[in-house]
Amino acid sequence: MDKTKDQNLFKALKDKASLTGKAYRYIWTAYPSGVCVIILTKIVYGAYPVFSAALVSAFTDNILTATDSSLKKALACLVTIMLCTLLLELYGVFSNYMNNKFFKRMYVKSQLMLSDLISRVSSEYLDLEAHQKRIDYILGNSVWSPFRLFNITTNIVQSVLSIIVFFIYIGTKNIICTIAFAAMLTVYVVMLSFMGEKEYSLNIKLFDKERQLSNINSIFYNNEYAKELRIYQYDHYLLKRWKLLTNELREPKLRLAQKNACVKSLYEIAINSIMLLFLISAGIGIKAGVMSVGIITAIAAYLPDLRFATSSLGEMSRSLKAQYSDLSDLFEYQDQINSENTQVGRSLEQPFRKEIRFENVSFRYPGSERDVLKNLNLSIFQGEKVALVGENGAGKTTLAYLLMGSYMPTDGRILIDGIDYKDILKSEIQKKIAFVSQKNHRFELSFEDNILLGREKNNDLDRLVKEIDLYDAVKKYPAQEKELLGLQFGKIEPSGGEWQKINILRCFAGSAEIFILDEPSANLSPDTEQRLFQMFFRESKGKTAVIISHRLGALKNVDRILYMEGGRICEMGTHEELMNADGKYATMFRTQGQWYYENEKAQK
Amino acid sequence: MKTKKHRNNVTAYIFKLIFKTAPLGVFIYLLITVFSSCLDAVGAKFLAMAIDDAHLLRYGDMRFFYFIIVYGASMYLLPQITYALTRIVSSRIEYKIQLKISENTIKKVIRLPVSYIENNDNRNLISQAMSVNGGFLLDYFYQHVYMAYFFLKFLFVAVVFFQYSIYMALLSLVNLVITIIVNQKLINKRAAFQLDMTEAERREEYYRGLLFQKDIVKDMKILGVMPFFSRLYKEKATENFNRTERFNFKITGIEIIVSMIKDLISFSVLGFGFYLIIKGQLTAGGFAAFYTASGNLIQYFNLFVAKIGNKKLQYIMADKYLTLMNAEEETKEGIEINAEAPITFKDVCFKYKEETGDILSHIDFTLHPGEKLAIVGENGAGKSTLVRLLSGINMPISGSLYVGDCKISDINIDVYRRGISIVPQDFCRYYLSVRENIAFGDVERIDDSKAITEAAEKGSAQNIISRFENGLEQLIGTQYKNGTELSGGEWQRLALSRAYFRNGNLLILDEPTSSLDAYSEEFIYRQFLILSKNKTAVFVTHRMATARLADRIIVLDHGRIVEDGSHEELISKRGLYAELFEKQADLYYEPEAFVQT
Repeated sequence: MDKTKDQNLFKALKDKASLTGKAYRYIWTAYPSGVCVIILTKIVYGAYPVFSAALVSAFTDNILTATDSSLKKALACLVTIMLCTLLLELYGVFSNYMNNKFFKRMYVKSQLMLSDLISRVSSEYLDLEAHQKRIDYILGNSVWSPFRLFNITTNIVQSVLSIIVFFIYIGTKNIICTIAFAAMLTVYVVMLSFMGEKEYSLNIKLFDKERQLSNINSIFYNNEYAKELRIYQYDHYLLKRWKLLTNELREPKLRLAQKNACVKSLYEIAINSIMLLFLISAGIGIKAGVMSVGIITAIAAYLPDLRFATSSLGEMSRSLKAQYSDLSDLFEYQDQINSENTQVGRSLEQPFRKEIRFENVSFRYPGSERDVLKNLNLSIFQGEKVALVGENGAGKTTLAYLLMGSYMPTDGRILIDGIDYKDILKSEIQKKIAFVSQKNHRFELSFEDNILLGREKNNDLDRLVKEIDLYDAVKKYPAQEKELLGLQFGKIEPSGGEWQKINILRCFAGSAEIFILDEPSANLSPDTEQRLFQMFFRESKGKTAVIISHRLGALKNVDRILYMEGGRICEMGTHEELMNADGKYATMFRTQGQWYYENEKAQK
Repeated sequence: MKTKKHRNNVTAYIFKLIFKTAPLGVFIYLLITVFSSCLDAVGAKFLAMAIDDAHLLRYGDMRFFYFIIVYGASMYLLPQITYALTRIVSSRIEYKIQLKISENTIKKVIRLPVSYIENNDNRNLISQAMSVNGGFLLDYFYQHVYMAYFFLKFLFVAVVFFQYSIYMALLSLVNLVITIIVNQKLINKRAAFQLDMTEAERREEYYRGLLFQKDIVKDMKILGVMPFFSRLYKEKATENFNRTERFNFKITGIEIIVSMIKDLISFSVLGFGFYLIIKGQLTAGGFAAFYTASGNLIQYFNLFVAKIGNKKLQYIMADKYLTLMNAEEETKEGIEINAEAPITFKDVCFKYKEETGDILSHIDFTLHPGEKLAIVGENGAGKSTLVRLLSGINMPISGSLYVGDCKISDINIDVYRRGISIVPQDFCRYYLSVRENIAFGDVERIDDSKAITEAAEKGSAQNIISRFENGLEQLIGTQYKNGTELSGGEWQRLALSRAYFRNGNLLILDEPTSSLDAYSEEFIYRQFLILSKNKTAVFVTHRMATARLADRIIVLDHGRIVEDGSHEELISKRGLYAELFEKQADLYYEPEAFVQT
């Protein structure tokens, strides 16, 4: 890798330059006036220390001369120093204020940018471990990198400016010291960036462990684990693992930090010795009569700033490498999402008329070698109610996600009214679809927001709330519109069944033409389940619906039942047809029903 | 801040904790701090002497060089060395304290009763105490050290100042005092504002979190409502931004006025110094010493303020940590009795919160050893709550619960729970290995692969294991390189296997098959009947066909037991149970089905 690095040094520099450009553009668009103020601040702060040192030096010399006119000059110097200090301080307060504002704006902007990217990633990638890890890393680190890079580079400008001006002011008088100082500074910066690289690679190495630790922490702290933890009492075991993992994480970090501190302080000592040399050589200069005593005060006044400039220069160059790596991570991700998921395609203006057809559709998750759906052929007609049944893992949910255009088939194609899904904007397909997910999503928003999620309120909603038997529950919530559900911010925690009803209403709230319900009744009592299905059939009248459920008894009235097994549809027909065929569906149906009729059978 | 006394407790607690955890480190740290506090004064003094003697250089007097070397060493070299030393020592201290605090918090939280941690306020307390994570406590400690350090530093510098001019020393003192007071005021204002913003910021953070949860993104994209969520975040963030902005604007105004006053005072110090020089009462060196030393002090003070941030917030956080540490734990003492004895509910009422009505009211029944009990009822009837009481997770609000002849409050709850195998409705998903997921039922036997495999078979999870190359060692969850995700049904099977692995006397299943297909469901209930032989078993179900497998069925309605008896008894009673059963059975009525058998 080092070889290629050498060969491509020029290219690497070019890359870095273009990354810097991107980062600056990114920041500039977020807050141009903030950028201007901050850059100006850095320049002023870079130049001022030397200016004030020169004034102090002139002041001292004039005082020491102690003639009337020189005292007047000294007074003038003093007043100038005071004025500058005052102005600078005021400006400091102002730029601090701008900095805060800038930071917060950048943060919100980058979060929104990332959220936008993630919402465009195709859904099959969202499930991938690698993608999840990448997002975690970007959210934790890379998102800050443009801002950090901006900070670092402007700080470097400030430090370098400060050092250069100092050398111009004093360096010519102390040529040897200047050279020694410059050499030390270079070594120092290289040294620190080397250390920074080590720290960065350690962090990358430990990132997986970090995530594991936070997982174990969540078992200890999260309410959802509290009950099992107390009954099963595995805390000693888990605590042992926690300690082990914590040590594995912290020890190397501690060791590296201590090592870095040692090395760094050695260099600090060396560089400070050179500062001492400055003072001694100034003494020699005074002795020889080439310098005035004022130079001592100038150096004394400036040295703290110089020390600050050098040490911060080191600190900054140290994290520069990491920032570039994070930055390229961020922009690469952005480019990748933009290029892979550019939404091209036609819109779908006419309502769904005829059928959605699966032609030889196969699907496998990226990175997996197992086909979840195998060579599947299927038509779902407009106005039809279809049930998808089958064992766990048969591919029902995957089929639903394909139908909704979330996943694209690996092989074969899906057509809606003869148009290939691939040629249509995904959002156009999804506009036609309403969906109840297997995951019982709970949002800590108000009851109404939870259902509408920003969509327009439909007049039927109040009626539906009554019908699904949520009305009493809603009445329980004082000031139903604004009161937040969930205990994080509100006072009311709906039960699991109530949450599921909210999820179902969410599906009916839109103006969809196709309904897809994935196990909508897993947590519902039988009575509610029945009410739900009745309501469902009524509401979806004239519309198309696909429903996935394990409770076969409730599905008898659908137009068509598809029995799935191992990624294929192996039986298809109405309940009566399938029962008469006496195949897999019939067996499953009887298995579920038999316990109700065991005694009756025995009697017969 | 409640009382003065309370406050002292926090300080004493933190100091004791830190001294105890890293005695040697703290000692060295303090030693270095005291030593380095005098360096500023020494530097100032020698700088003054060097400048005053500089003109003597031309006459061959070399004292200047000694002075300047001492000055350089005490201002540049020695601080670097002491700084490096403190860095090394304090990183060790930090490491130890952080470990200690995290461990203390974990150990504490897992001993708290569930009813405590499920309370919203306590939840906030825990999350705040978690954020303490050593940092706030250390900062609180360091702040006291810094304060002492600053005071010493100032004392030494003042000694030097007094040698040159009493008036100027006094003026600098006044300046410093004003700076400290005003800064403290500003800091307090900031802290108050920050606390005020906590809730709003939590909301913002919650909305932000929604944008990045993959399950939510995946499903909400389909509904086309992702823009709603980003708008939610954006609006809240903007609202918070504007509030902070208004506050900052106000504060900035005050800051400007303050810094002008401060500057005016320091200008008057300098002007006065100038006057003294002209009068011949102050040397140029003395003036330079004032200039640099007071500059250093102010600079250090600013650094100190930035580093330490707000003391009030630290204090509050430390206090939260302490409050959590003092919360009442579940007792480890009491009569040792396990779930083998009959369990009797006598007029038990229960609710989670003061405001709400009873979730369970006036429950009376006895669970006899060896009995198979089914609990049925509508959503929200109190079934899961009954299970919680039964498993010793929550305690009755009124009435009493007896295990054998002992009240549940008098028994050792850990021993009691050890006899229970449970699959809660919201069973856990451990993002660890398959082995751990099952062996957590009885972690002592984690190395017994044979028993684990057997338990997996009982919970019909053997397919999950055989699917993976690594078998039991397969890691589940995306935080691992080769980790896989499981489906809802597969997780449910692991939870069942976990319960069977424990082999408790009381087996409790709360809707164990809600995500499973008909075959798995049947298999699991058949297994359950076999495995719970000679044991007490309780299960909650929505499927009446499975309820009839029990010896006895309890029907709950709005927190009360409305029916209690065997399937046959309840059917002939023609009550709620019979109604529910027949409604469901109708769905599966299939005349031909009988003909075929």
